[in-house]
Amino acid sequence: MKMFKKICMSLSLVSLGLFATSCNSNADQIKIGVLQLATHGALDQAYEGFKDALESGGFVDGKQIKITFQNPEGQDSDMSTMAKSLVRDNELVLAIATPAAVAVQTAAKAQNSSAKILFTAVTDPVDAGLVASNEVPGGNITGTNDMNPVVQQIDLVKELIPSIKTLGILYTISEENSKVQAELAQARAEAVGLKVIVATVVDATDISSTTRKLINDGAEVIYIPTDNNLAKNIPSVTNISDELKVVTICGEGNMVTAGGTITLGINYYKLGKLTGEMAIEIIKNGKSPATMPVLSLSDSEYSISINDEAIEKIGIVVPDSIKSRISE
Amino acid sequence: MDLQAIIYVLIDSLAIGLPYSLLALGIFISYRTLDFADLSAEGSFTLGGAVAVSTIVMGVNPLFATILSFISGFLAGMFTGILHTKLKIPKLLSGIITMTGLYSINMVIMGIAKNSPYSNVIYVEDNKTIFDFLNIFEKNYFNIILVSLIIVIIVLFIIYWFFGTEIGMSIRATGMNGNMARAQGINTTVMIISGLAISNALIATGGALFSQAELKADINMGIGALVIGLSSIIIGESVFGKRTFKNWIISVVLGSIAYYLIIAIAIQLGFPHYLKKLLYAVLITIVLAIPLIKKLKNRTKEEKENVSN
Repeated sequence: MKMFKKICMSLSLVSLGLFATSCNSNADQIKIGVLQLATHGALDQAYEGFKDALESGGFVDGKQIKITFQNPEGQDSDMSTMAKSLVRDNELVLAIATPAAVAVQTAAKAQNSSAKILFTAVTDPVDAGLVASNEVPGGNITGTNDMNPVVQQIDLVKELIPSIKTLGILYTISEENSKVQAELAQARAEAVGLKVIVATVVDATDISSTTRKLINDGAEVIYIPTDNNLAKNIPSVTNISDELKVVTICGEGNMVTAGGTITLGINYYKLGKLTGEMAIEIIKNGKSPATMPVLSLSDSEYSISINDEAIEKIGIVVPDSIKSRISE
Repeated sequence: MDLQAIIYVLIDSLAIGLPYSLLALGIFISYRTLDFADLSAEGSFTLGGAVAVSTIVMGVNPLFATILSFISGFLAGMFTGILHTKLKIPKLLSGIITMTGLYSINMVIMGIAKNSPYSNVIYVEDNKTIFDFLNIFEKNYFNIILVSLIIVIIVLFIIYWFFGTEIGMSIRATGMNGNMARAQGINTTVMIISGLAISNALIATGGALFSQAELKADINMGIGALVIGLSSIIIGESVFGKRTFKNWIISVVLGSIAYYLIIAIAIQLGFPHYLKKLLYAVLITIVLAIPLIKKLKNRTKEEKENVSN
């Protein structure tokens, strides 16, 4: 009986706490929830692009729309709770990165929710079970795809250093997206006649030693896909590769800003903008996600970025054919 | 914030807190009854999820898949126990060794269902989960709560019964005072191995339930499991008490639900995401301070009574 009283007491405490939080939402505002996997350069930019697209379409946060932003910093059980509350309270939910999209979809299924779901920065939405096909998603969910132009990236390596014979590929073993890209990169590299060495890291602590081993084994250029762990810890790679005069070609621009040598990649800001335009189609024109194909950026929207400091340290000459395609 | 939102916060925390309470009970057995800080928990939680989802995808009945998770956790716990008792490896290190090894094993297990050497995530897709058995509610999370509640109650009964038997008592005696237990003729080696096996079996079952609720198993799902489990135990003990063994194990389950209630409230409060962990810390501190505040209140009451006398 005493236990029961305690439970009641804690419950009433909880209710008090919740009553204390005032929720000043306007009934006319369209409520949009955002679930972002973790703080990460590329994902942050996708979110910025999404907000900017909505704003230029006449949907300003705090006026026409109300955005609730949640970020579990990668924690699985927190992400699940956040997904549930976002799906419940919003008409439209944006999920940034694959695990977030899966969590939001699972929450919507569990609640039989009619909330419309958009995703961005998802590499393979079909494989993750988010959509039936990229052309006709089928469910209440669609979005944009961040499949990395791996083939073009490997070709860029050949263009930058025509004499290259051995390519090293480095990624984190626990990241599914990286594994997919690494396999594509290996296939393309072997198709253009390169020898490939693959090395994987487990976490942040074994990056330096793995990089050194990869270079000792003969890698002349290191390819790194859009890998979350390596994106965060890219200096651990480049501190060693720059010193040993090895070029690192990365999956996306933020990794180059943080130390990588060069990339040809998708622009996550533009990808987020594209997703924002899809959101406008849904809330303004009443389109259904089920019939909106999953979009990706077109080839012309890939941009090359280069790290001048690293180029100088490594001491290579960038051919004019590449220089002319660099975007600022 | 309306009444509906409060009810939903409760529902959310039950739907996660109940599967996680098996993790808390598992850690309770190793940490409290056996006095063994067992780090293999992080590996065996993921192991349970990986085994359950992989076997479900391969067409195994979800109930049987969950039982397979239980068995896999049992073996993992036995391994930690053998490392400690037979190879004389210190407790913490035995757990770390198992946890580290399981990382690779879990990847290989998730790969089997995908016909790939390894994989780091596996989805349930359209297969049935254990929560589809009692499909009485239209909304799936009520089914999750109901089925988890039934499993947790059964587990509580079994734990209560088991730790009253001779073997169970011997495990508790081993945890309390190993030398004394040995002097009484208890084989402490067997007791440590079986205690850890039961502990990890429960943790793996918790992982199996959580991954079926979330429709996926992920190589990173065990990260932080030990911290969550320990917090649940301590919150449960300080808020709901530990007077008797029965009271104690129920407190652990309630503590796990309370832990997720705290998280759900923190999320509802809508703090900036980079401050959320600080908010968790503050809320948990407040909850842990409740018994102390109560004690202080009682003391002032007594003093007042003394004065009036």
